[in-house]
Amino acid sequence: MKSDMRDIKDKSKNNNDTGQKIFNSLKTKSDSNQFIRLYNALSRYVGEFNIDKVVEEIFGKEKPHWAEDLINNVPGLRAGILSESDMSILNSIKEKINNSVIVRIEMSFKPSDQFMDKVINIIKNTYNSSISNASGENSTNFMLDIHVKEGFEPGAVFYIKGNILDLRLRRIVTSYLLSHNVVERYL
Amino acid sequence: MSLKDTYRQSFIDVVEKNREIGFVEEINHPIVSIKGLPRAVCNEVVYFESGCIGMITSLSNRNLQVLLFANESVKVGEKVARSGDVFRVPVGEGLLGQVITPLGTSMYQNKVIPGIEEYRATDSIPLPINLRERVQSPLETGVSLIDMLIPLGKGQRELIIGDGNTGKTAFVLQSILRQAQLGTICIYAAIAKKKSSIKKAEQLFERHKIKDNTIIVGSGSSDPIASVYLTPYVAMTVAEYFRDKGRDVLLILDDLSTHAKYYREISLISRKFPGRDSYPGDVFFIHARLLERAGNFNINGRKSSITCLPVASSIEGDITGYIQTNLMSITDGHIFFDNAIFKEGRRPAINYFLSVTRVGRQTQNSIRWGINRELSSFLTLHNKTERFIHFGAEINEGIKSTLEMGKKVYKFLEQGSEDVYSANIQVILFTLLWIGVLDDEKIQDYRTKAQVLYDKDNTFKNKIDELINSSGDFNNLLGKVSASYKDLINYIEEGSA
Repeated sequence: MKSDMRDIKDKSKNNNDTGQKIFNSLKTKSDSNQFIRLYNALSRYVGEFNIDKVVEEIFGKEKPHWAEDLINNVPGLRAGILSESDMSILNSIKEKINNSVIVRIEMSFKPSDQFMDKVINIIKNTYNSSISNASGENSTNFMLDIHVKEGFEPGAVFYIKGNILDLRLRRIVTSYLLSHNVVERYL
Repeated sequence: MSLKDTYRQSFIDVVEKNREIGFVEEINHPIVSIKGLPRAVCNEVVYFESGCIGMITSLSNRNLQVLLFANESVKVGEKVARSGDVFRVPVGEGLLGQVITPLGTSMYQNKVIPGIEEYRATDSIPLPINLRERVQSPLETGVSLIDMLIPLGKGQRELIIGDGNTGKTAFVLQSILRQAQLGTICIYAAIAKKKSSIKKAEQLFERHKIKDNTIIVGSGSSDPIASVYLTPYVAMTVAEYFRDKGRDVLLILDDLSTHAKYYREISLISRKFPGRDSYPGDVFFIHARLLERAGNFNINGRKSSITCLPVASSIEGDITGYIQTNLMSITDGHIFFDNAIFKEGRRPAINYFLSVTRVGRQTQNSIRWGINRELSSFLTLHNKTERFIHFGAEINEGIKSTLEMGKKVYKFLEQGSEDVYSANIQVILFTLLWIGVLDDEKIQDYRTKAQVLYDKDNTFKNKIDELINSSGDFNNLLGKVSASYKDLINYIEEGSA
């Protein structure tokens, strides 16, 4: 009996870890929206399905970058029939998406994947360490909502939970030049 | 710069100042759900990126709800910034003679209101009891039936209730005419009225040259719901400004049953739990906290008052409706405009027997108190007699004289919608009627003549005032007038010839 319970716990932990791994590859809000579209499409299938066809039907020829990761980590997708364990992985990803904090970033160019990884890691580590120090809450997931605006000044503006972090270069340089330190040192 | 551009600029400024942002998540016009703005507070004004403004009405840990002050909608995903301040309206002496919207701008296009001295929050806390006083001075409405039978006092809150088209608005405008002539600041809050009705009220004030003592705070029925909801609060805020300057203010709220209906609409859209007649649970509170701001005040030795006459519509003469009874319990009495009386052709169509004044009588001097007593008991007797003769009973001399006098009294109490009479003229004319020297055909004519003479002839005015002031009570006055009525009548006839 005890060993059964342990098995269930281990299984659920594994599913959660897989879910987190796939979730990490969904970096932006548009990735998440794509995932939700796929999730909704899969939930409409009663019998067997061909995942490649389903993906093509939804996204066309251009497969999202996270799709391969998902298919490799959820065995039922390749087999064409979803088990309870597969569904629990998909559900855990959906739940993480719903509970994640959206970080809106406005900038003038499309950021690289490395840039996005770095941003998410910095925010996640800083935020979660401060929260866990304060209340011992579970770690929070973040998702980037990138808005590329033509003619936007160099730099970026971050909107996190209603707060604004303005990191446009002009602003940073101006405030640095206006600082007391600069005046004393150079003029 | 248009108002929209101003708000767009304000959006940029407050983002810079507060470093906070929210995003529109859901729109159920005029209620908008917003995510973000972590330090927002209730009643705070927010600016939308598109140039709209709104006011925060509720906060939850998931999102916040904003009441939009515009007819055009905002977009999902649009940025919103909080102003850091609650909703405020511009107030100042410059408002006198103006017709303003609940946002404090002129109702006339492109008209700038000069003389604005400060900005006041519309949702202020009513003054504490140490700054309040018993209602003690009478408030003349210029309408004989009210001034003699259902007197009002300065600082009183009296509900004006009745079916539609029974003369409620005509009466409140008459009260404004009289009070503005006496120097009181009169504020008329037209809540979701037709624009033509607001214009008519303005023209009436212009025609009677009292515009400089009046302010109209108006919202049209096509205006944004938020504007309609705010109208009485803004009017009360303007009234409080003049109260703090030591002035007496008469505030008309026309009408609060419409206001309640608009509030019900907002509440249902906001998904507040509906209660009786689908009104939200706090519909009593929103009117109680509004009317509690009126009263008679003594602020650091400076006396002032806000007399408030809220209007409420009834249906089929039913005064037991939810909002109507709420307002009755909040106010210090009510004046009931009866459709049956209106159909009989009597104006004003006030049902004296169903009207109440709780604090007005304490403001009357002994003469007016005497008249009130005599007239009340006579009308009760007349009413009983009229009911009695319906049974086909034989009419004796006593009954005949009661009916005859009743006819005269009702003729005396009849009044046109723009006729207002000063209290002393009403007293003298009633005394002349009571001693039996005026017949019912001459009453109206004499009263008009006497009022004109009273306004332009100082000798006549002094004579009347002296006659009344030197009499201790109504009986004494009756004696004096009986002795000199010929002189009085001659003077009125000659003076007006």
